[in-house]
Amino acid sequence: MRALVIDDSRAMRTILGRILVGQGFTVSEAGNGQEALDSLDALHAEGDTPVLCLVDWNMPVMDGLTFIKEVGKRDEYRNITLMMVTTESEHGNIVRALAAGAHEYVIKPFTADAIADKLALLGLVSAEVSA
Amino acid sequence: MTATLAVDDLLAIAGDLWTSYLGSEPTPSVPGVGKPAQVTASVSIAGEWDGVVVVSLSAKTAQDVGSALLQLDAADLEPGDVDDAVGELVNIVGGNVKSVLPGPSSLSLPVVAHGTAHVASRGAEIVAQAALEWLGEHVEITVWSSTSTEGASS
Repeated sequence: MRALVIDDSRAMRTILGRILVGQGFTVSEAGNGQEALDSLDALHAEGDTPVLCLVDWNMPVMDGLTFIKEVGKRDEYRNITLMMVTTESEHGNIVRALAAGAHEYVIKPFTADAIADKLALLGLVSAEVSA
Repeated sequence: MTATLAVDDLLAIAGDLWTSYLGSEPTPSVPGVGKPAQVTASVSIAGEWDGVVVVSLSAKTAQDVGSALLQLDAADLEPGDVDDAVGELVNIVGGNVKSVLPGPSSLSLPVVAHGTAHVASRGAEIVAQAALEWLGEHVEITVWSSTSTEGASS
């Protein structure tokens, strides 16, 4: 299973990537929404479309909310699970993200267990793996 | 808009952040007792409440943050890693501070500067300031509020 981690911070991509590898994912990274769209297209062309994207909100070039809206326009990506992982915690913005197509929402700082539990709830890993 | 932000709020935010990503919780300290900061990271909040969140720390602590977040020895850090890590640190502090303040508002991308920071302070005031000790070094978190706050710079 491939996952794409989208965050403008290399440190945060490393933290999230480490958690996902521990959950059995193969991880690709992108530094903003536009890079992520380009990565999705390249991976899709190789027959390796990610099943999961972890998406930061505040990024240069293209933010996470715009990325989620763009993914929602593309039928070939309808099966990707989109999880926002962000410091953005205003209720109205959480609603906006979920309405735009995000399936889950995690607020930084998070623990590895919190991410694993969300992945289990989404059916992407078994509860045994997440534990 | 008048905001209520307590030092305990900042310490709680820092405690969660340090525990989640940096491996050990900092201990509270006293603002102003440490050496002048060598690295300053800031994010601006704009909207219903306007201000700047600033994290000030030594070069050694900044490097320790980079090593801890990336789980690399200091010698293995690449150029830009320390600024990236400290920028993410202030991004998370700022996002959590924003959640306590009146909204809606938006958070800027982080800015990391090397040197002692000042906030262009015409009409600006400190809303809350907390100091921490971590790995024997001093870290300060300062929240400035003002309609005319222009941000932190070195």
